[in-house]
Amino acid sequence: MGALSAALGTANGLRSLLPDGLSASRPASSPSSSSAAVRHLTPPSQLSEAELIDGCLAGSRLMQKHLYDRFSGKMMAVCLRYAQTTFEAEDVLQEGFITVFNNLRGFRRECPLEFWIRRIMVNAALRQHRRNAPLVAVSEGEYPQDLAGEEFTLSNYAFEEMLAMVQELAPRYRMVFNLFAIEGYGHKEIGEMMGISEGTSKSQYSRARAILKSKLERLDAHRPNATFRN
Amino acid sequence: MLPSETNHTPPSGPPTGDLEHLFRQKFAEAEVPPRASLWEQIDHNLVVGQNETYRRRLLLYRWVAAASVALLVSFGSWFGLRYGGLSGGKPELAARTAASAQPGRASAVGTDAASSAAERLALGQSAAEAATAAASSTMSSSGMAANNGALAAGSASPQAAGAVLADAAVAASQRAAGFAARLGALAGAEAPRAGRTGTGSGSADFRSGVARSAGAAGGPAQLALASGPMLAAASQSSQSAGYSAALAELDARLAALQSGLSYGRPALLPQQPLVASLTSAPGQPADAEQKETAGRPRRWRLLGSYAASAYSPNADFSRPGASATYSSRNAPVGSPDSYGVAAAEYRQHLRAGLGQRAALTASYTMNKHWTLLTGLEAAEQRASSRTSYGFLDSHHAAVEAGAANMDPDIIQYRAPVSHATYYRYRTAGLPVGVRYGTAKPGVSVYAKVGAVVNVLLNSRAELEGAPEATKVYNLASASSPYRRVQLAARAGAGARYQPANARWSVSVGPTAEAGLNTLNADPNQSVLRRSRPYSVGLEASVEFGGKSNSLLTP
Repeated sequence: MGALSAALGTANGLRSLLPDGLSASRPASSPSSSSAAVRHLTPPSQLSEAELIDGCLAGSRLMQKHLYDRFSGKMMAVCLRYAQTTFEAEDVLQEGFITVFNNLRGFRRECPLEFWIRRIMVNAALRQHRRNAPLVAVSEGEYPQDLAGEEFTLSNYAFEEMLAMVQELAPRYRMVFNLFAIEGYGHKEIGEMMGISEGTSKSQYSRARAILKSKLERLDAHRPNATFRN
Repeated sequence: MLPSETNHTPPSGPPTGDLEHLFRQKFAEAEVPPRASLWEQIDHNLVVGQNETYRRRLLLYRWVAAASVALLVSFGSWFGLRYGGLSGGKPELAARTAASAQPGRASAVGTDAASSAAERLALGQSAAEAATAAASSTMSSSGMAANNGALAAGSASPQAAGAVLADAAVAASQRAAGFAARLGALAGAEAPRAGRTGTGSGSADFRSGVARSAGAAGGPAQLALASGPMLAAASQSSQSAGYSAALAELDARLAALQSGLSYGRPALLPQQPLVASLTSAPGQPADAEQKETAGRPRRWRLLGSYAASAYSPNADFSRPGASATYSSRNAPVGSPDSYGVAAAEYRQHLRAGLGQRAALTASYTMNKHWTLLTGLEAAEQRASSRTSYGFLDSHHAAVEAGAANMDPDIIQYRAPVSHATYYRYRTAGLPVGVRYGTAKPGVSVYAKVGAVVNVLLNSRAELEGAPEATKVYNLASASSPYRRVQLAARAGAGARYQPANARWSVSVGPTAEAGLNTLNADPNQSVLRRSRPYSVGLEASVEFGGKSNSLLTP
């Protein structure tokens, strides 16, 4: 980058290439502006997390866009799991990213940024769930103690098929299943997050699991090389 | 019943797993690009939210600035009335007289005019009127008094007010210009709204007027850099001009946003955080300010607090062996018993007085609930008692002073009438403490404990009806009967309120303080039987800084 800077001459020359108005408004004598200019010439994919975060904290819209581009695909997949429709998922994604940018200053950089953003998305999904989910009483019925035992061949199922199965679950089942099976929260934590008892969380999870299992079995039944074993 | 972490992959064949493993594997690295226009919506919402934040912050700054000016002017007025007497009560007239007597000295006239404006503000008039008064009194020196003052005082036209404000700033120099610009910015709090609801042109002209006044203030400020004594005033003036310019710019942008001109068009919105321009003086690189902000630890906050309490010095000047009590009413002055009786009488009538404390505290957030506190504070405590012996403190000096003028026939006995004694102690302290509470927005409760090291800067004891007996000790007084360094433990609790998305909060609650050592320097009692000062009162504080939301529950 130093060679590139020398080849282009002064920092003013670099700034003239910048699309971001913030950098262009900085004084020419400032060393930080030239480093920022060089940074802006770096392909977005090569920017480190720290550079992205610092750029966002400095108010650069371009860096915010880079950060969004880097994580929006993964986070959309997360939001789709918690939402019933794509529109709903996009609402959650939008709310989540606004929270991310508004709270980025509080990110302590003790864990990968993706984990932190993912948690924000889950929280946004929970808020959306609280707003939308009807208060349907679900009985804390019995649930099977031994839930494991079956085996599925991973390559037999496509992401889209499994996403559709999860999205078809009732909202509470979907939330509990995602939080427990995918995010790895315990039932006690899930109960606190959703405002339900630990037993209710377990019950809803077992029902969600049973539904998903039957759907997988139905899917397998239509395939010649089904490998489901119970 | 945690989801299985084991991979049930057999040694040969395709990988398999239980249901949880299947879903986790499929969802782990999945990516689904959202629709392309979603970023534009997010960007638009960010811009709207940012402007809303700036608007609220601007409102807060205005309130704080107005409150500071009001406090300063109130204190200044009180101080002037209390200590200046009637001779200093006509500053306005003096300023006007000075202006007409020395028409050639514009800077002196400007300074006096600003003083006059400040006095007018103290009398309850509006900021706009005060600024206008500065302008009109300045103009009167060159024979151009006209009726601009009356015109702007009516606030009928923001345009006229802006012009007058600008003229005031151009005419006055250095400090006067900075002061007028600052008052202009304050006056702008109401005038632009009037312009906005009206034709709109008046509002724009008013802003340009304020901006011109800011620029005019910056000019002489830079010229004044050559003169050493005026350096501080010049920089203050320059900074004030910068604030005013930034306020005017920010208000104009907000107005444009509200009128829909820039709604949803990021190109028209500020590319640079307006707070940076608001807090940086002209000529100062914005980068340096941003670096400073970025380098500041986010866990640090700043608190300003005030406490009013009932304070009891609880001092005991009695000496061992002096068994006399207040009931031995006829102890003659000068007898061995007289000191004991006077000391007992002092304690008998000792009453708590008002204790006030102002503190500037830095707080460091250790974790979600615990915060460390330290800072500086200044306090003033008052108390009262009564004496028949002219007893003020352990020196008993007033007894002799009073006795010297007494009739020899009655000198042997105490005076038949007791007089009130008044005590005032001024201290500076270094508090340390720890607070338990939550940093979440909304209403919450807190509790804190700590200790403080106080240095007694000054103490004063007055005897009613005998001003010559007044005794004053300062830090250097070797004969002071009071302890110079005092330790105290402190505790408090109360309620805290933080508006949503705000970086400030207010707290109020009861506080109590107990001295760990005695107020008097040489207590004669055993350690366990000593009486120590204490106070109970209410404390209010405002906290700035930190982050607006909790990290864990964004």
